[in-house]
Amino acid sequence: MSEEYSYNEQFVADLLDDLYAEFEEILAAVRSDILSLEDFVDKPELDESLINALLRNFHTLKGLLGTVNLKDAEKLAHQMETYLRAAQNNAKLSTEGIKALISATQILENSLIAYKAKTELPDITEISALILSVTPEEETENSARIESSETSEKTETTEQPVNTQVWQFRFIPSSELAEKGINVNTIRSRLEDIGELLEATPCTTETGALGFDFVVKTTATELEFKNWKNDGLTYKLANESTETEDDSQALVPEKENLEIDDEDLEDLTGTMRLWRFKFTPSPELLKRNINVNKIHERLKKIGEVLEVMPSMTEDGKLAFNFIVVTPADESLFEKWTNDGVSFKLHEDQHVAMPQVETNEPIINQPEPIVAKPPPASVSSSRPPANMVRVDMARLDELMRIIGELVITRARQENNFLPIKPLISSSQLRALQENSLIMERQLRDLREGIMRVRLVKIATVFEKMKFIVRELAGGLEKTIKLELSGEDTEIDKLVVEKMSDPLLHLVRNAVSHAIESPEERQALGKPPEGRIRLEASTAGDAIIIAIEDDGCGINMEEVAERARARGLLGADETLDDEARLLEILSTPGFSTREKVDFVSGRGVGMDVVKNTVNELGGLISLKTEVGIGTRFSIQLPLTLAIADALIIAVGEQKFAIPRISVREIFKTDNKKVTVLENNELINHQGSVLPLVNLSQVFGLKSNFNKSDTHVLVVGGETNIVGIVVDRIIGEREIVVRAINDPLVRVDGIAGASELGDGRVILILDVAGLTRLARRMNNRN
Amino acid sequence: MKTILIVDDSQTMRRMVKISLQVFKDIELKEASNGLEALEFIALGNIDLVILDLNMPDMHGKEVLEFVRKHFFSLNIPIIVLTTRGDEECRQTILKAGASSYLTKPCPPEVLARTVQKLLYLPNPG
Repeated sequence: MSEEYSYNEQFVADLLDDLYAEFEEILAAVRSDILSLEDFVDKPELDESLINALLRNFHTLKGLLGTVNLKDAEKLAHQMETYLRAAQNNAKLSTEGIKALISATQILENSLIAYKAKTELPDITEISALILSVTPEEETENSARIESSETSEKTETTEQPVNTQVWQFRFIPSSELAEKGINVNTIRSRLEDIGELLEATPCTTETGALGFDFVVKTTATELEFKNWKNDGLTYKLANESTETEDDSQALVPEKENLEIDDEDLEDLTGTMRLWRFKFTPSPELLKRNINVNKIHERLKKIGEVLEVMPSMTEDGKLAFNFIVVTPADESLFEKWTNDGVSFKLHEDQHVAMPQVETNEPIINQPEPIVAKPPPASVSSSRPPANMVRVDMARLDELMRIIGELVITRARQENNFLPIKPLISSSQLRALQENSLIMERQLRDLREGIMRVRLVKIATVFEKMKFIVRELAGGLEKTIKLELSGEDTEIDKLVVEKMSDPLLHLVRNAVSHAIESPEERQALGKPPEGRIRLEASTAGDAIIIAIEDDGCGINMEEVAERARARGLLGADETLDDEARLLEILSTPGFSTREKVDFVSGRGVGMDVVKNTVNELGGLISLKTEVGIGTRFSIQLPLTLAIADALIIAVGEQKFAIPRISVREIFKTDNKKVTVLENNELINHQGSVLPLVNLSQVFGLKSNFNKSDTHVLVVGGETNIVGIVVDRIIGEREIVVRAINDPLVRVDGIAGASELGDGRVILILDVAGLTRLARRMNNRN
Repeated sequence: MKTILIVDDSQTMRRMVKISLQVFKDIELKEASNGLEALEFIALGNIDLVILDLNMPDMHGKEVLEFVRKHFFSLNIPIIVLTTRGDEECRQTILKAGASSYLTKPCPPEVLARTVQKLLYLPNPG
């Protein structure tokens, strides 16, 4: 009977992806609800529906977390729920409470992320204590009891719980109670907390008032709900033992308030037939709480609703037509005629009927997907489900196979060389043509697969809204977050990896860059700070920018601290934004004396930079004191296969990702000026620092320096020129990361295989510029 | 007293709309979670204005709109379509189908409030 708690592992594994998706969905809802809840802080009344939505979502969350056995997070969700319930009962919310909820929501999310990544789960002791501290005492005691009863319920398989009893509750709502915030939903969730809700049905009392009957199976004793009498709740022990009937009931934990008797449902063994139902709503019916939704629910319980169509009756009234396939018959439907429902058998019984398994639980199936029979007209409201969920690992596998194909093709082309003298030129041309076609087709294939992996960046951006709101609230700043290009599509893996770095940049902007409203006004800026997140595509690359109109980064301040830490020479000045970024990205470097709550945890600038580098991207920085800061991150659309230029320095060949090359030009060494260990060249009116590969890697350049190629690389602000001997050509390369830290070399991003089987190293442009600068400084 | 019906399958969205309309004192807000329920409200109650989502289960907002315009044309209810779909083609279709206004989510509260105010000839709030 504890079926719903003990899923086996395979089942969980299969469900995980769906769970994550649902979890994210619910968290998103919770976030926005909590934000809306903020409006009710210290107000005498609360929005019932909002609280109920949150409670429902926390309830679902607990279920989800329980499924994957995240006990701590489940406990936390429970505590959040308890807090909300207390707030609902006392109709009182505090700012601290909302803050605690917001932080706890973050912890919940982190828990799942950690669980997903199989890393250490976040500690909840602190946040848990925080939530408990804001929850009124009475309620915490209550919750402790609930918890103990819940745990005992879960361990039921091993030990019999003490004295499980079935109670009948009746709740009679009144306007007085409603004012106190007590309605059928509050009562319902209370009952759900003390035990298992077996039944919930509306009823009428002797005096004709509307009431609700609940049947609850619980280990709780009368003591626990004695006080609820004041809340319009009466109770008595149910007579019959329900051990046997429990199994069937457990399958439908979320039983709706429907006016169908159980025996009616048990009867559903007849043959499947198509029925037409017509429901004509009226004000009288509405007073009895019968509306189209209720009827719809009823029909869903007895079978499958194939079609719902509104129509007009002859006398101009609105009616709803339902086509339902069900094993039930007139004997059941006749009871409904008083509720404005008329019925008749569908004229055409011979249409293909879907296989409906009636004994299948209706839970976990929000939208039953059953092959639709072709009745007269298929409602156009539901578009065909033409989306497929694919495991990322399968796509990775496909990408890997394509990568191998790319290499095989290159190898084959290489093999043409030795047979060249043996065959006629026309035969050779045919072979080469084939090879070229294959290359193009491979490219199409690769692009096709790549497109499958793309997701909209909006998911990450949306999250930032919440973060900004959360942080700005805590720091008493008003900040407007502008988004643009949310529809930009980006590789799923890149999105996931970039989520934390972006978060850090946004956090920095909120906590450090944007000044308080007073300061801003004193500076003649609008009191509301502005943070802008942009995403756009540029060829094979994606550009994400984060811009704020805050205080900017004071280079002098940074330089001072950098000197103190020995990152900058005593006589060196800091006037270059690229260098600034590099200093900021040094692990542990912070411009702040005191580490505050906001940036005191999470990733630092070094992680931001490392992630971007790891993804083969570039990050650059533009800042002006008093005006603002702009980080711009350039990322490749995909990671596995890239177009690359093959270059040579001396005997050594290198590949350099094409997206990082902005321009190539030819020059000779007479134009190069040497200034304080830096080689510079005047290019298109500006000074371009040069990186000499032969120097960086200590290679012997046997090339006459009078005629050399310069590859212009870099992001928006840190442009450098890479000096190479020769440019051999352009190839598609399969990027293989070098993970072994022993083999890792600065300036090398990875390795690839050429057609002849030789290994070629891929240059890491960002690393190179860093490396070159360090060497220059050392000299 | 004017009655506004908010039709959206997402509770959060309905809530957002409600918050946006808090500026008006003399209005009553009703909520429907799907198109069918919306039609019922319109047929039975004195609804003065409808704020309608498009993408909903069971009955698409466009169908609701068309149904109301076809069968309840004499009521002449202003209908604001509030949807996440922002492309021009959809906008044109919806306006042609008889929507009084077409707004996209997320809609700034003041924009929604101003549209409602105009369509219902409400006095300026505050």
